[in-house]
Amino acid sequence: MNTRIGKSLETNLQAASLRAGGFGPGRYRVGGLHRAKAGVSRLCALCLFLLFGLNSCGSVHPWGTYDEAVLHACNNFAETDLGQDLEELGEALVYLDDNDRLPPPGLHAHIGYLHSLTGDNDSARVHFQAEMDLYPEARVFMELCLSKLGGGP
Amino acid sequence: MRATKSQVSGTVFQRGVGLAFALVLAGGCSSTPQVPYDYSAFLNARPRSILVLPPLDETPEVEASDHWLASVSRSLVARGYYVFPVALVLGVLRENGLPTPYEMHNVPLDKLSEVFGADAVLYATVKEWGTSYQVINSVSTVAIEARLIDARSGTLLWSGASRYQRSSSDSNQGGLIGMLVSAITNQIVTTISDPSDELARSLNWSLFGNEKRGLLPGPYHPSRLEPGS
Repeated sequence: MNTRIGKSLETNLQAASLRAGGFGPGRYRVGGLHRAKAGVSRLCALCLFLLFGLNSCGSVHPWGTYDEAVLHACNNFAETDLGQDLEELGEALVYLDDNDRLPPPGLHAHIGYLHSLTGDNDSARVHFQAEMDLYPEARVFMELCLSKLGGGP
Repeated sequence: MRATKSQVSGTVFQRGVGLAFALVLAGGCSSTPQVPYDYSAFLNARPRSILVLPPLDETPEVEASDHWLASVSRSLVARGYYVFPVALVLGVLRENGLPTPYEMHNVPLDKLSEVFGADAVLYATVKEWGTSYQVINSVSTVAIEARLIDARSGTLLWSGASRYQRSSSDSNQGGLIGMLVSAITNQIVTTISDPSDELARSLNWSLFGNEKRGLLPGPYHPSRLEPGS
């Protein structure tokens, strides 16, 4: 479990360091005009990193449309289609899987919740179980949710 | 190899620009007081998971509680904690006869611990939330107070408060016409997305991620993951 999480975070950090790349020694080791251009390039790269890097600081996991989906659920889906949230969060899961990254805490559980609201208890069960498998801290709550769904495979 | 004068001045220039950036960043990020925090209770408890209860809302904005709740998870997860799925938690609490945050905040800790199995519970209050529009300007304000309580012992593990304010005129450089255009643009944009949401995300990051007064890094934080684990 921790191995997977460790690898995922490591991958994310590597990706972050790649985004911030270009500052290492040895790069732009040329003289005269090239050196001046390299300086400007470095500054531009630094500006871009500060703009985008800091803006996204702390986003260890990609969250997709999770925030919006939470807001829709808080509002009891008054102005939104529950199916659309399921589709968008499902796409986020596929993206994470394709990129060998872990879903953030709560994503599987939220998708399970949406499935339970549509009456698709089998799918809900799969996602509640996935949340618990990824994050043992969720076990007590996910077992409660699974018991509320009743039945079982 | 000896450095030429132009190379030296170029280096000094670059260092100067770098220093200026550092100062701007330091100024921009230092909205909370930088007084070291007493983490002894936190270190004793070492929570792994956080249950965020929907916050109390002391503002006239009826949606402030939901909007902050939707914005909070990623900043706590980035700090390295398992955060319970906030919408599902809200749904379960509502189903159990607790319609508002006020009833939810009065649930005994042992009951919360039994149902959710959380290590710690975050009780928050939205003190200010929203955007006020003037003729050629708009000002967004978000203020949050939060307390992290040990779910088993009831001990206060951490508390913090932060207030962020952002004015649309902060970026206005184009004189009166520019300001009017900017105000109209802001009005159009903010009918689609509330600027308070973005402000709240920045505030959350500062409140929980502050190195001197924020939450200590949790078990999933990169700094606490063992190499090769």
